[in-house]
Amino acid sequence: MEASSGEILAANRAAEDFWGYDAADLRGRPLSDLVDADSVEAFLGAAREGRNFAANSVTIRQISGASHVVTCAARAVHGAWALAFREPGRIGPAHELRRLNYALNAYARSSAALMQTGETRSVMEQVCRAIVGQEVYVLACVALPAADGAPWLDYAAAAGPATGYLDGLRISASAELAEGQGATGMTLRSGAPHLIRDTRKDASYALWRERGARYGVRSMVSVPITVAGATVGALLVYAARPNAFGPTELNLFWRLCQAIGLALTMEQDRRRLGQAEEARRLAEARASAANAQWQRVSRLSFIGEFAAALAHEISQPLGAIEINAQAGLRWLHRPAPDLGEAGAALERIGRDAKRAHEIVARTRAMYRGETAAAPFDLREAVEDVLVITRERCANDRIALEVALEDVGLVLGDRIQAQQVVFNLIANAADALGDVSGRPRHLKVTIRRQGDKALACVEDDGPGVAAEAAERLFDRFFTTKPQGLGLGLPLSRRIIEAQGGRLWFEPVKPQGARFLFTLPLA
Amino acid sequence: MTRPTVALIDDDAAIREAVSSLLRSVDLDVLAFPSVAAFLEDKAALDADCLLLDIRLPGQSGLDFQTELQARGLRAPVIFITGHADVPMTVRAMKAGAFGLIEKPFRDQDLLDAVHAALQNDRQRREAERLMKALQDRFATLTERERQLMPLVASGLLNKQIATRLGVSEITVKVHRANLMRKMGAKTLADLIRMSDRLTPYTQG
Repeated sequence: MEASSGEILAANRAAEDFWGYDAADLRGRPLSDLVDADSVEAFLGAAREGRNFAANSVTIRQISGASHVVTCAARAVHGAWALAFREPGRIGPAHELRRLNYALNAYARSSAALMQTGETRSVMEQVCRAIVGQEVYVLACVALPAADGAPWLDYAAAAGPATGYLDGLRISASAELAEGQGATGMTLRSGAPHLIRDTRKDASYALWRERGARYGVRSMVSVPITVAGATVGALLVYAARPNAFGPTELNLFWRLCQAIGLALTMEQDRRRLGQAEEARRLAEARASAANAQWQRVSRLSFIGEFAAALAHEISQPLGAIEINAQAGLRWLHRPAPDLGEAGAALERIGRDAKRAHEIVARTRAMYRGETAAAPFDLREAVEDVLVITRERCANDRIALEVALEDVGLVLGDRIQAQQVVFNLIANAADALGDVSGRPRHLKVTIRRQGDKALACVEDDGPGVAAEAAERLFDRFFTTKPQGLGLGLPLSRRIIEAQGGRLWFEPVKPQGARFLFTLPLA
Repeated sequence: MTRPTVALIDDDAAIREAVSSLLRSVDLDVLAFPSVAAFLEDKAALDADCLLLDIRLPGQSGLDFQTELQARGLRAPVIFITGHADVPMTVRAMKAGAFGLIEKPFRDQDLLDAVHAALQNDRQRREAERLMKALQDRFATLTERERQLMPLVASGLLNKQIATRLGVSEITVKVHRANLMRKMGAKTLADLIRMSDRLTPYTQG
């Protein structure tokens, strides 16, 4: 101690335990930080006069804010002053206390690592058990504000022979309630430790005196637990003897409370992380919902594309109906009405109207909910399509070769699968339209392949250029002047939606082959 | 007189039948084809008086087809039927020599008017071609000397002047000239002048 300024030059381990500051932290501090002003004044006066100093009731203030009355003796050592502080009237033999100190110290040091990983509650319980391992302490507990907002504190952890003391114990943090006027209440509000040195004498313990007497509680201390500077709870330690808490013990409890605070901070961090994780999961769920939305939209646009194609298709029979009606009237209005021709026109009107209806029915099928996968006979479905396409092939002088194996039932949407087959045949016929001077061949086959049905539409037309082959299934890619570039991408989507695959293979020396699979039912 | 024939090319059978019926109801003969390829293979169709075709024919677009027709020397007027004509397409079709463009859906009268106009045009073209052919045939019967004489007579030279120019007697010119007028079927000098004018591209050749 440097006398002129009252600044601390050095401090030993005992001083660290006494005040709770590290030795390094104590160095350079004014004595007035640690000891009451009157005592500082008295000491400095004595020092200036070069005489030794001794006082029986010096009040020290700990890092935790707790105060203790101790004795102090100061003497000059090599131009500085050595001050020795001693606790007066300690209970119990010195070696017992030392053992306690060691045990708690060891615990405090080792627990830091433990608290980083352990559950807060189990950390609290371990702390409490460690404290009551000393028989002078009959109860140690951690009190936290009730999660449900009730005025009474919860006891998150407790240990010791007097645990029954807590049954029905009402302590509050509120200044408004009588139960908030005890040591614990004050600690929770002030953030500083509070001591009840003797439960029989301390007025602030009056409310619990009877209970204390039942469990043999003679002194107690409440030490604040803080998280990020805020007091969130208190460690309560009850002793069987009065005045059982010296500055050293209080400092140990203070450190333990910091460890508990750290554990709580960790837990909050983990919870925050958990919330972040939850937020991430939520975002993912939202993204997947967006994906579903996208799929719905793409399905809608698919339906839109299909509707456009069907609208084009339906305009054909409607146009034919209109022209037939006009032609029919002209046959009737001739000088000699030709009833035969007029009748034929009417028949065509009926037939074309039926075709228009079929297209409308197909459109409806496209609009109904999800893809309706049901077992159907693929051979029969393809044969139906061939009925429609045979005429086109005959008109275009295309030699149609059909080899339909009985593959049994496949799983999928019959109408959509037919649309794909129709599309592939129409494509092949279009490609063959460019062929002149040699026969044109179109081959439609289906066969079984493992657990799938394999359908194949092959032509010996000009085939597909390598660079075009790569883009065949891109939307709006087309090599046809009148093409929309939708047929193949739509067909692929239809087949894939039904658990199949659709792909292209070039044919040597010329031609194109489109294949698709559908799962067997 | 034989009934005019319209060649119809459309890939949709229903449309083909309906339009065929409509054309037949006004006493036109119709040859209908589902594709350009089918049309080109039919010798009779190549003589049709009018072509009616969908501009979006599969395999080969109608416009490409028109180019091919011209390459083959087919001069029948072409009317395109289109689902949705836009200006560039119309311009292209007209530039390529299309006689008309009809947009679907069309009124029957519009189609028939267009077809009749095309047939009328075709008749006139054929008549002009027939006359020119007759003229050329008559010109082909002329002797070397008569062919030499024709532009000189048509340019209004007197026999005497022609005789001097050709280095023959005036009598010889007179005989050749009479033969020329007779063979060409020209009654007056004015007739011959007109014929000469028409034949100019061929005579100069």
